[in-house]
Amino acid sequence: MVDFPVISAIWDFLKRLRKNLKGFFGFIILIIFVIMGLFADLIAPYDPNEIVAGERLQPPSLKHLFGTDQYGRDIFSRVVHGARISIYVGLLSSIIALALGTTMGLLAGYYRKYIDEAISRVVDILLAFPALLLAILVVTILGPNLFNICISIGIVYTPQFARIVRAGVLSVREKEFVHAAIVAGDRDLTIMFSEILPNTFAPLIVQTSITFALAILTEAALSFLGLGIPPPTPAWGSMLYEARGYMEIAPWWTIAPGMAIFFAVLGFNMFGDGMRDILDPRLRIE
Amino acid sequence: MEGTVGSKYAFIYRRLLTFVPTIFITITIIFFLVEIIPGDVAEVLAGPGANMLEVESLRKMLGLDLPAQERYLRFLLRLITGDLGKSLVTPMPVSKLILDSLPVTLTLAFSSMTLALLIGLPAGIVSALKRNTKFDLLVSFGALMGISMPGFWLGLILILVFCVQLRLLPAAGFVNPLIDPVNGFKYIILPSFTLGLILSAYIARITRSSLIEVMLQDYILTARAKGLSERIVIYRHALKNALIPVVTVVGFQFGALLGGAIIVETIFSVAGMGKLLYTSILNRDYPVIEGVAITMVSVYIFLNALVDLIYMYLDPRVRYG
Repeated sequence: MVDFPVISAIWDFLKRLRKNLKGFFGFIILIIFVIMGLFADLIAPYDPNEIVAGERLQPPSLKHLFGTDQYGRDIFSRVVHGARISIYVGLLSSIIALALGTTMGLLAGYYRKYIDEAISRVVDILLAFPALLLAILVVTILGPNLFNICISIGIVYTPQFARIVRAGVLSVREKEFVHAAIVAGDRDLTIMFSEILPNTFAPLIVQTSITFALAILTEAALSFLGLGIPPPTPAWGSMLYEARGYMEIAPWWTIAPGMAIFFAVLGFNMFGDGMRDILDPRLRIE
Repeated sequence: MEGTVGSKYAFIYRRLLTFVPTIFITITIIFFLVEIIPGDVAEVLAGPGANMLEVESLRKMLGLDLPAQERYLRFLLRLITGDLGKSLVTPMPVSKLILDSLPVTLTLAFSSMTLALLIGLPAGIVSALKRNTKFDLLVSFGALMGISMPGFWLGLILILVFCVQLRLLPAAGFVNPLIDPVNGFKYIILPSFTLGLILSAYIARITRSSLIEVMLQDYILTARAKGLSERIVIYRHALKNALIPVVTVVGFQFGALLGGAIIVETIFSVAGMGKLLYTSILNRDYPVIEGVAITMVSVYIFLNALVDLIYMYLDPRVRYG
């Protein structure tokens, strides 16, 4: 029998997840959103951008589950398609933050001295900006499109990753197995990635899940301010931006996209909590 | 500098000194960030019908024709004298705009933080002490919902319920509660609630987990073994240590409050710094963007240094480090 350590690790993880109610329900919510995003074209009953003049501002009904907006577009279909954008933003932003932060943390913790000083200063300065302010400034410079939004959100949440990895590196830097690898003549990069980095996996996975949630929230906030994803793209935040002017006559328009943001973020937070319990027994408080 | 008192002040002094480079670097970063924002304010100001010549003379008048490094130096020199320049859109000095709006935002931040602490601390403490009860479950789930709530959506829902449907509270505007308490309260309650409720969720979570951790430590067992009453064990021994991480979170969350102010002030049309920043970004009003960003970051850095000092007071182990 060939052994698949990755698969058995995932299987083991899922088994433990099932016992953790919060993590389990979070996982279910996430699955629902991923399915919504992947199969949006099949699930949505209408084209999310189809303008129907005769169906403007219809309240929720069997024909239009969440009602329609001022262009007669089906809000349910737009919310379903919005999942795709949020997942994209969450994924790309987290990857950017993870990659940048991990690299910075590894370099700072491994080489210490001047490199650590320099990187830690950059981290301090990034942290000196309120997150949303920094995101707004960067996205205003880069220009509001999906990719640039992910870059700006990625930058905003980089410092947390850098701190986690740096702390992790410092805690094992002087351990015997690291010294052994150095004596054995391994390259710095090899030591960093195969000896040191695995020790920070648990907090990194938790932080990635939290960052996913924060990225979705931040993108929605930017789009809500009209500084993010421009209409008519069905991003949840942009939908709320448009709905704001119609709160008196079409309150339903405000409800559905907000619910979607709330549940997606809740899913990631629950999943993150669950993972923290499972992966990091030190942080577990039962 | 061996004496305890001396090194204590030396620590405070050093901590305050690290401020200066951080603020200087962030100011520089903000200047150049704003500098590379695309969009020409002169063209915007001159209007769509203006010809090249008019735009050019406007650029000259605004000093936009000078090279960036020269403008940076002039900017720094002016900053030292407290001059943040003039708004490009309204003929007002930026410092005046900020001085008018900063108290509004600070009032909002302060009332939100008070609300958050009033809800979050007791909820966290009781839920830690009554672990795994129904109350604990309720708080934990409520807090999870709170940290997942998009602030702008909560604000919209509150407007929908209290302003549009029930018509109980005003949906837009701001009255200083120190000058007119009754009306001030009416205007500030919804924005504070929007920011404070979400913040209280973070505070409840960290208070709960921190207190649970402290209660498991040996010195609590010792205190109990000495025969101290549970009340004294909790209030005198456990809480003081449990609050240390809470203080850090509160400090960090001030940043979230300032960011949240951008959204909440926009939703509720509160003339604070957040709204000022938002309108100035839409107008490409560079001096105002710079001024507000610098003020927000400075306030945030200052508050975090303050948190460090409170930290020092609460935790003797980090003292004079």
